[in-house]
Amino acid sequence: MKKFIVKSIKYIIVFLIMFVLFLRVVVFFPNIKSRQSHEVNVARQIERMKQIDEPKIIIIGGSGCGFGLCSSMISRHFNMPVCNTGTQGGMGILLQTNLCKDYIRKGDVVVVIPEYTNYYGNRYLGGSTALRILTSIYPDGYKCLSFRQQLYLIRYVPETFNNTIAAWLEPKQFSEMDDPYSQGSLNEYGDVEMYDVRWVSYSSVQSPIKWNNFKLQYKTISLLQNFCQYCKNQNAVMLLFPPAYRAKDYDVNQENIDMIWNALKEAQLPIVSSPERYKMADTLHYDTDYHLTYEGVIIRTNKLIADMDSSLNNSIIHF
Amino acid sequence: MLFNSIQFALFLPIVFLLYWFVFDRFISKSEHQLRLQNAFVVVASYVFYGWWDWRFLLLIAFTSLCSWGSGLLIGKAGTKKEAKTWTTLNIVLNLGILAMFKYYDFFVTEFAQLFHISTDGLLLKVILPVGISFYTFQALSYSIDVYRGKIEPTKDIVAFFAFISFFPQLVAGPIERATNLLPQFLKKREFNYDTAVDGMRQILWGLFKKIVVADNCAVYVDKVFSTYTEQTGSTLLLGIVFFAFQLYCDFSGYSEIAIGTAKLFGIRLMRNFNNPYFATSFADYWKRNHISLTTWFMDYVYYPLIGSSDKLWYWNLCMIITFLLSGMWHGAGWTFLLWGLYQGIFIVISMNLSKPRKRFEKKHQLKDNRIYEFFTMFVTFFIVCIGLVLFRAESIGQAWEYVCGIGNTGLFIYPMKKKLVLRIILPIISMIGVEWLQRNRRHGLDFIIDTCTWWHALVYFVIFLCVGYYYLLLSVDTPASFIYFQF
Repeated sequence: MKKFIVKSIKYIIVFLIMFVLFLRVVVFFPNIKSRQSHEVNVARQIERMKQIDEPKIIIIGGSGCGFGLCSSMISRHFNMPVCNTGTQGGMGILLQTNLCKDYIRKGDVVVVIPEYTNYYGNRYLGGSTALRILTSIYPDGYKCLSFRQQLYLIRYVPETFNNTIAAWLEPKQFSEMDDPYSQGSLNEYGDVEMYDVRWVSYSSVQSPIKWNNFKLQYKTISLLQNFCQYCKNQNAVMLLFPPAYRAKDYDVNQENIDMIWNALKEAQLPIVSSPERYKMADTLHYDTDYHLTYEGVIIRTNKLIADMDSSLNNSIIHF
Repeated sequence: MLFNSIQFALFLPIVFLLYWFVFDRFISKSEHQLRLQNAFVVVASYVFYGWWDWRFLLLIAFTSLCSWGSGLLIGKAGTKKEAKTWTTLNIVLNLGILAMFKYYDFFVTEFAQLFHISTDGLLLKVILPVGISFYTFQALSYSIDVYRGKIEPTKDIVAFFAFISFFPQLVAGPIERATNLLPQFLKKREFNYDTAVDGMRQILWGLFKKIVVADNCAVYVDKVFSTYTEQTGSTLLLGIVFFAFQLYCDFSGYSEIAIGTAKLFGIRLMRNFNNPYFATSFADYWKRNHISLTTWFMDYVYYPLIGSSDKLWYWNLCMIITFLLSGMWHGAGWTFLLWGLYQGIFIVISMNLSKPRKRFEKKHQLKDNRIYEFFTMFVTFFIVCIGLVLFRAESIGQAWEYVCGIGNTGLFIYPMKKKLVLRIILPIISMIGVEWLQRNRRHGLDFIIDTCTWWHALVYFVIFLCVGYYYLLLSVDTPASFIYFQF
């Protein structure tokens, strides 16, 4: 019996260590597809933030920012450089904010627009997208991960590695002429352009997506509070915005969206505007419920500028 | 609690240590040591089962109590008639419970549809307790065997409860016979190192089959069946082949884990699968597939039905009836009934052709011909696969459209999701390879202990790695359940 228990424990421990080592090794294989895609924006914008000394506007969020804002309009209006870091919602708001922390300086305006997925479940911690981007685009970002987040992300290593293998087996050659997901579609601010090909109306083909088993994630609210405090300590201003969301999806999830916004209000976060204001018509959406067409981008950017204006010129407005 | 869950990974070592160290070693001087160890098995099993829903415990306790009581009454009965009455009562009670939970709503709905009656207030809408068909059949076999005089009725209620609820095989079998399992609870179990090591290997192999093969196939199969009207013939064909492997690896994987776990507790369970896809005829397939259920139906339905008749047509009819009932056992639905009929017809054909086939094989010296063997395996597998469309489809109409779709649309076009297909085919080939090499042994990792080498350790590690990798890949949020739990 003793022999059996000792041997079983030995085997299990050795196997577990080797398994963790295996995961540790495979996670460092870069994804060649990611390196050709708009995901390079993460590294580019971090580099820009490092280089800009004057007060700047930093936009933090998911792909809804990259595919949904015109930073040049914002930059012209406020006469400040803009760094739009919003690349992939799957990175999770924790990593998105942590990657920017070191570059927030006095006088900066930090516009935080988390996608709704961050407010329930554990999506705020990221997933395979976070691992892919860290490995392939910005390996230095690994030091931004907390131990808990690293433990959580281990489960996504196989998925990340499978995608890496798939990219090796069948590398997608992005045509920089016509693919909004290629790195060629990015402008200097970090926006995805190629508006001429982003005309497909998403609303006509996709049914609304109802969030299943919604349970508000209070850790997201707490991390936003901490981030807000961090910005204050750096003498920067943080503004929290709702994402631009397709009307169809908004309607089926309205109850949950209201719950999120009420919780954010209660947490006294610097929220600007109401989610309803950023409920965008179905026809203004391109290929997901967050990505906009050119017309959508202009409407949304104008709203954002107006809201930022009133918040910065007056005090922060709580709706 | 699922075998492929973190909860079970914690539950098993705790139960194992308590079972051998607290209830065996430290209280070994107590005269009630065996009863206490059995009582602990019952408690652990009830915790395991109650993890789904504690209300199910009342049902299993009631079934166990009735069957134990009926056994005693059958044993004490003065006449054969009285014994028969108690046996019948127990059968009616057990089958009544099963019918109420499993079939009542189905038949009421069908009846109401036929006669255009409203079902308002008629349906029970109760949740089907996990594994009810398995433990009900196990309980039934006990009272029938007592009636037949194959086993003495036990007065030890704790041992009997342990026999019915023994957690490794409680929710999805193997459906044990009292003649095999009950005596093991009536005598002291001894820990055996070799058996325990073999159990661990069997658990590992079961996890490989479940997580790496079955759950992987499920991704593709679910996608194909939910969009079957849009798929090409090649995709549909691949979908059903993958479903065949999903079903086999899911269920046999469960059985391997169950048998392996039981070995850790010094209990030997019956073998439930013997490489069914290496069967060379349909009759052979059913000798190798879900053995505990097939033999149950043979012993308690088929043989009593044929009685002393010597008419071949009647034997064939009884076989078809037996498989119809086996289909019904699997689920309340016309698809399962038709699946049972399909199995019955093909097994009758297979049995009736066995003699001419043997003559043909002898004449052409095909008995040891490997190519012929593979050909017959392929034909058997193909027949099984077609039948499985009925097993997986939600309605007979869907099954029909699915089968027609295979022939009608693009059988020679690349199937959908080539990369996923590659990801699935590799584990299937590995599994088949290991089972082919080990076909004369009890399970895929049944190595001889004395010959344990580094090579074996490497094999274990590779399997462990695959299990861990696919576990993370496929079940990030919740581990996938086992198909047979629904029955």
